[in-house]
Amino acid sequence: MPHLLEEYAKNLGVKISLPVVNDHFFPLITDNYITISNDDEVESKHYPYYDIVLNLLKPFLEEEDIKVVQLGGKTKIEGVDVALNLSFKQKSFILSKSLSHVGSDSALNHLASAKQVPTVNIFGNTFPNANRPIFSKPSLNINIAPKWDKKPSFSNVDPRRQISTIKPEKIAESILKSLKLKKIPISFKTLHAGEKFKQKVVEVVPTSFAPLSLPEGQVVIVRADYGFNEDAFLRFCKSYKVVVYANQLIQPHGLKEIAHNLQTLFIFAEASWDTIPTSYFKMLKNSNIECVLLVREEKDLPALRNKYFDIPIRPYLAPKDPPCKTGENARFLSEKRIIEDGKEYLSYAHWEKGLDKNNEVLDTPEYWRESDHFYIYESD
Amino acid sequence: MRYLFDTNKYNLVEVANGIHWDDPATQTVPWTCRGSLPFPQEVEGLSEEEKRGAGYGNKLIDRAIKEFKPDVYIGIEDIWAFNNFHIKSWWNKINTMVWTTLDSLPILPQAVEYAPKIKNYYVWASFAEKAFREMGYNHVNTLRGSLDTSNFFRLSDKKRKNLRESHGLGNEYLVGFVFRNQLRKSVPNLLEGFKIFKEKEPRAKLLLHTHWGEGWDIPRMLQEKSISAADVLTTYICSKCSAYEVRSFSGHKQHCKRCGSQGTVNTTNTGKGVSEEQLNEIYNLMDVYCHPFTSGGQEIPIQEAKLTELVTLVTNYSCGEDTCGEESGGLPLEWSEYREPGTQFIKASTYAQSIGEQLIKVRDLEDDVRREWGRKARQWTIDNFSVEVIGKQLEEIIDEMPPVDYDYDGGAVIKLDSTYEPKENYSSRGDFLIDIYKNILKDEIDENSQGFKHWMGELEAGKQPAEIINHFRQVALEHNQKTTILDLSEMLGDEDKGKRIAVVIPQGETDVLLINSLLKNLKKQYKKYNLYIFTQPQYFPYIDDNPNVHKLIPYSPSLENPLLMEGAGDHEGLFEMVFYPHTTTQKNMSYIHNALDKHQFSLR
Repeated sequence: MPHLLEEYAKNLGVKISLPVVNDHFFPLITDNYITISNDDEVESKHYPYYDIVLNLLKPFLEEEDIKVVQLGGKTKIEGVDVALNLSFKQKSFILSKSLSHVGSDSALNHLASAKQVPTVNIFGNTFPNANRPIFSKPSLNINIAPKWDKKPSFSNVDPRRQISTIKPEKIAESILKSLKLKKIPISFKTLHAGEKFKQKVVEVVPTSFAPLSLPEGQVVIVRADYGFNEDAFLRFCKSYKVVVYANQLIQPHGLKEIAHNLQTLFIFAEASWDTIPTSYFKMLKNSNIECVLLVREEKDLPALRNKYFDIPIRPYLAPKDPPCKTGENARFLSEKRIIEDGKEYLSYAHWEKGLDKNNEVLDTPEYWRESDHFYIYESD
Repeated sequence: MRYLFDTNKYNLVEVANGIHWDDPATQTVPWTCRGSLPFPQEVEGLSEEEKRGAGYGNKLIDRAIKEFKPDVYIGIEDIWAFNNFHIKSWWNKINTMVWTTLDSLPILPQAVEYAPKIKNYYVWASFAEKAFREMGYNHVNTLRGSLDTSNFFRLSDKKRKNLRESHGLGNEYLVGFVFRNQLRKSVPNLLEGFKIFKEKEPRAKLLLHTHWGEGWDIPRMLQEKSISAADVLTTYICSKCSAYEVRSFSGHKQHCKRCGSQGTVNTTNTGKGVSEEQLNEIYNLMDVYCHPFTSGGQEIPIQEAKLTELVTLVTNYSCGEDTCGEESGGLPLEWSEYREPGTQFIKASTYAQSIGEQLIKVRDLEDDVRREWGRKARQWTIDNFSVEVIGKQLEEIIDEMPPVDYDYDGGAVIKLDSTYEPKENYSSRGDFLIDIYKNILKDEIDENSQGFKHWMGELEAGKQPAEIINHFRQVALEHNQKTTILDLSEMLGDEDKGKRIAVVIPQGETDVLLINSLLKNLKKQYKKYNLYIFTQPQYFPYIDDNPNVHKLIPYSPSLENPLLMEGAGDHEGLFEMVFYPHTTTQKNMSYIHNALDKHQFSLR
């Protein structure tokens, strides 16, 4: 086996022993916990679905009163009870009392193994055999790797994002197994994880205005193409940093009022329109507003690109085949919201049908068009 | 050096490039001498730039400073030889002087860059001084290169006549040019000018004292320009008996008429040239000396020709500005400007017409006027280039330098300050940049510096000052890490000499923790040795509790040189054993083997 530690042992010509690390005490209010860490710095080792894992584990952990302590990663994982920013030796102390440690392969996993703590190790850019924890017996360590598309990237980046193909239910089951809590499988089956699932998107339909509660820096997408009231439109554009989608040109005097907040103006252009004057694009450029023309019908693209040679023109969301088969129990998660009149919808298809507070999969072309933003699963 | 030595005022130490520290050649001069060239194993692993610096003495100059504790350092090299000297700990503590040649305008950016960092800055030609002064650097002065004027002089008319006859020359009118056959010497222009002159003066012949086997393809050009090969002469020399002969070119590896050796006669070259005495004779064969060039630092043949009382024609550019005036017994050659691709330097293309006209002018001088010009040329050269004159100027420069109070015990290179907190307000962006250069990078710059211009451009383009500060801090950190090795031998001392093992593991939390698990058995294996671990400081917590670690030292890329670390040849090394376990895992990840390989060792 080409293990990293064995390579080092061969180089120094000595046998493997245990690392010496002195724990530094750190107070915790519980001693019944598991530890978790994510890698926010190495993209190919960053697992994006720990929040789903913890959500799946929640009932089991609550039943046993087991807490989740996050030890690594700059961003707090949704679902942990406490996220600690500690020195390595304080982490060592916390690890030493952990019931199980789960995380992308790292020094913490090896240290947990040296302390005979069970581990669940997630591999994103190398073979488990090359870096699995080996200070404890194999039965204490569960190693999970993607089904490699071809080979691991062995690099900090992985254009295929292979670590994302590891299903959260598999990790959750492994954690339960390492805790010796449950042998029955978790009733959750991943059907599809869209590439843009983790992107937070807030769209508003400007038919009426209500203040939004947004994370810092969040840009609001104003869908004037879905519905329009001039007063509501202007208030959204004056209150937030916005990107606007519009079916028609916005008059220059209106744009001047909102130019400071408007980042990009997407205009749905049609082949039948009269030519948009060059002065309009110049005015946008002078106001530092990026303008993109969108085309719904792909056949119109060449003619429009010729007509507006210097302006970026893109096709709007193309129709998509369903990425998976779904049944009655299929549900979905999405970080995308469409907001109108204070109601929130998870997709355009749901907005169109007036289905707020609904996460059922809708088998319609409009729904699948946005499937890159969805995490679809089946559950009892 | 001989002038300074003769004053009996100074202890002189020469640090000579191109030879090793204790090379036998260091014993051939009357003063103390050491070579500055490191042994090959000491430069292994260095970048090409660092190797070039080592060739200029960058590595061993620190040793010389520490050992000989000079009050004055005089660097006589190309300006790029002083790269990063300004961050050497001694640079601003003792009297440092740089005496360098510059040959073109605009002044080499690197030379401008160093202007604020060099207190005593001397150039070899006044055009460079003038250009510096126009930029506001009033402390840059001209100090010419010196010549031993006793080697070159006009022979008596009788001797000159005999000499000519010995080379088969009668009443020919001989135009001479002594040069290395490089592209910056304007041979095509000279040939064209000579052709013009030849039309007016049928007796004219051209002597090109140079190597015909490199640079310009002279025979081809003669053919091209329809110049008779018989009208162009050169100097042949025998590598065996050193006899020389001036005649037209007829190929290389010729037989020596004097000693009879076969294939030993070639045109004079850098491997085998004529002696000073012979060269003096060659100048005395000439009727006029003509030196057209694109640019040059001093062009010593011009001064040698003047010392033999020849009227000299010199391109009126670069160092030629100093030696083409009538007060120097010369005449200027006019030129047109072209730019050198890449560097964009101004270079001179000398007009052939000007060469032809000036040659005619010299030919037409009355004999006594020409002799008077020649005498003036010799005296002017003695007054401006002789060892006595230049030595005296140097002596005065040294004597005016202040006393030195420096203990010479500091590290070789100053530490940069990555922790410096800039002020909250600056009067201008320029002040901000100058301040962070000075306090983080310990670098004196001004608005002419390339770095200043670059960062000013970035600021104007919207880059935030905080980003620049972070970049500077990173540079400082990397510099401090990189230069650690220079202080390593001092840090280690003699206490456990011969009993040291180093393990170099530059980075990685996992890697350092895994190495931690091997130290118990490594120490068991080598009980009498101390284990030194080298890693980046942020990984210290992953190994510093291990009781088998003797010392934990910040990693530096300069450690990646096993022969320097373990020793080779005369260098005894710093450690008995150095392990580089990261070689197959980080530098060249060659251990994976698709997770299929097996071994027969019992590693646990």
